[in-house]
Amino acid sequence: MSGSDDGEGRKSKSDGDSAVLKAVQAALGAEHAAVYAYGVVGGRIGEGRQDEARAAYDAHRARRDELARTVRDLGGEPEPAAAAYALPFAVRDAAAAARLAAELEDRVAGVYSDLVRAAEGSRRRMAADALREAAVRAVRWRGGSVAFPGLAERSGTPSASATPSP
Amino acid sequence: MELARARAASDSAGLVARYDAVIAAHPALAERVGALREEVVRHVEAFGGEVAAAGASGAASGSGAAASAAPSAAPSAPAAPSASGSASASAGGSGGFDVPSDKKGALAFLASAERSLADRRGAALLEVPGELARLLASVAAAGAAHAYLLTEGD
Repeated sequence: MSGSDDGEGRKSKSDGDSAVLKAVQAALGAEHAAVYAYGVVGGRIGEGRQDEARAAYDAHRARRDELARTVRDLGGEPEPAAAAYALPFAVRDAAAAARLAAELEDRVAGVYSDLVRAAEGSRRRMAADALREAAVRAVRWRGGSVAFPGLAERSGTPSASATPSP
Repeated sequence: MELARARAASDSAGLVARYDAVIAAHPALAERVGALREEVVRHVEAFGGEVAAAGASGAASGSGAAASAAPSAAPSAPAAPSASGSASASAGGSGGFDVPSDKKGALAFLASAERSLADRRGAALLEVPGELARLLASVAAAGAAHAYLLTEGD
């Protein structure tokens, strides 16, 4: 955890930092899960969308690494990936793989919207960019859009996706 | 911050007006873009604005729909859409917009409007408190997704 920042005179800096750190760790956890699950997606998505799955996998790995660095910058210890994640449903064919990918993006969008709220400046900008990319990937996988990507309270869709399995 | 919220409502209302102009000029596109327009209407409302729709269902041709950016919720800040004036100028027809005469061009016109507004919001959200920033980021993401859907396969 962040310990005692020497502070630059900003009051409640450590409070703000700990809220940001918590949100960054949550985003990191979601990216770990997305990287894992995209491995499953890649195995089932079929030839036609293999490149798309690969590009998404790479994008999530890059975000994961960026978030791990951010955690360290904030004085924290990056949350490690779980050994395995429980998928929300069985992925037996390409259609299910696309559905899973869309759900992963929804879940990732949700943690980034929270990070937008918690962070400021460059970290907020990074989160907003990541939210935007996730929303675009989600509509590609799904073929349709949602009005409020990342805002579960306005969508009514379940945000549960890949969760660490014991 | 009411001002930022009112501006966001006004911006989204301006976008609704562009959708209406496109649908008026190309009724055949109503089916393709109607659902996206409805989402933009929800954005206006989320920012506290209103869209006075002519038809109950936005999927119908929105020719007469006047998008007004009056944010009913905001007590003080008037949402005068002074910058573009587009939000209030959509009484009918093409609403003063120069909608391309071909369908593909009309879709690109909407995609471009969605994308540039999403870009502006990406900057604006750095200047507002967290909760509004979160909403702006989500709506900007929706706009980017709309831009993709408007141009995919073209």
